[in-house]
Amino acid sequence: MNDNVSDIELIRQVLRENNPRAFEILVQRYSLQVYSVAMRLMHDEEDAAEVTQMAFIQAYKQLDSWQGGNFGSWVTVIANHIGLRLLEKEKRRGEVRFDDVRCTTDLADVADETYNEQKEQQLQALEQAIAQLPEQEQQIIRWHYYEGVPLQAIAERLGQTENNIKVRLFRIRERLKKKIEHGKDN
Amino acid sequence: MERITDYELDALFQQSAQHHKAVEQINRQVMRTVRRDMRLKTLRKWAKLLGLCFGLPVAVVVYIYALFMFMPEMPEQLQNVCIAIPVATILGLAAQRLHYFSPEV
Repeated sequence: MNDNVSDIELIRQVLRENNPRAFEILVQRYSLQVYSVAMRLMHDEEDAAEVTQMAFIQAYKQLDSWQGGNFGSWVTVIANHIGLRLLEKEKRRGEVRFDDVRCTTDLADVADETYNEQKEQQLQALEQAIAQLPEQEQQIIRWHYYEGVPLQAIAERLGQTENNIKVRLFRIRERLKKKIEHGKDN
Repeated sequence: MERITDYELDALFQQSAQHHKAVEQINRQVMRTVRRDMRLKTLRKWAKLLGLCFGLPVAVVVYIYALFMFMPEMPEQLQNVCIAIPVATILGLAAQRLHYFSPEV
């Protein structure tokens, strides 16, 4: 199935044909975006993963109530609701626990020890910057940094020399740095 | 302007790769649940169809058979009630279908 199909068409396929592949494309398209938002809300990787998972499953169950618009934004709103509910629950549980020992520590402070807001923003800027690169350059980044493919193998796959790939990677990195810095300033 | 060092960029790539791995895991888990739900939906659809094709005729036959067996011994009012029950059920189901009918699939 073509991954460039619009959200609305994919949702129609899920609702009419019960097609799991259509929903899988939607999940692949938006899971990183929803996960990033969940991460910023929950400040914890496991909780963010749980919230993202729950959001997509809830979106699937309520798909027939989707009113159109951007599917990713809709799932993000669902994830926000779920996340806030979980935080509220945690807080209530935490208050009882902390009250017992007469401690007034805020849960957010505890979570902040493992979470870095600036890093998370940079990470989002990096993801956006990578998404804006030409397809082949994105592929080079994916192979080298996400799949750990050595430069020589990348060069062979693309029919270029290793030095050529090194130079290209250097230029890509410089462009990414600039974009992240630019994003940071904004 | 605060510059990003190569070390920081490498750390970001590493963290981004971790995010991607986490997201892949999430995708797999979500799709496992969705596929299970879809299979259940299909099973329920077939069960409904089978129930409609075989269960309903059997129920009707049993009901009519019971009516013919016991009706002569029943008082007239009870006979009317026995006939009214299936008619009311059919009308009720039809009204329910119409109420929830939508031209969209």
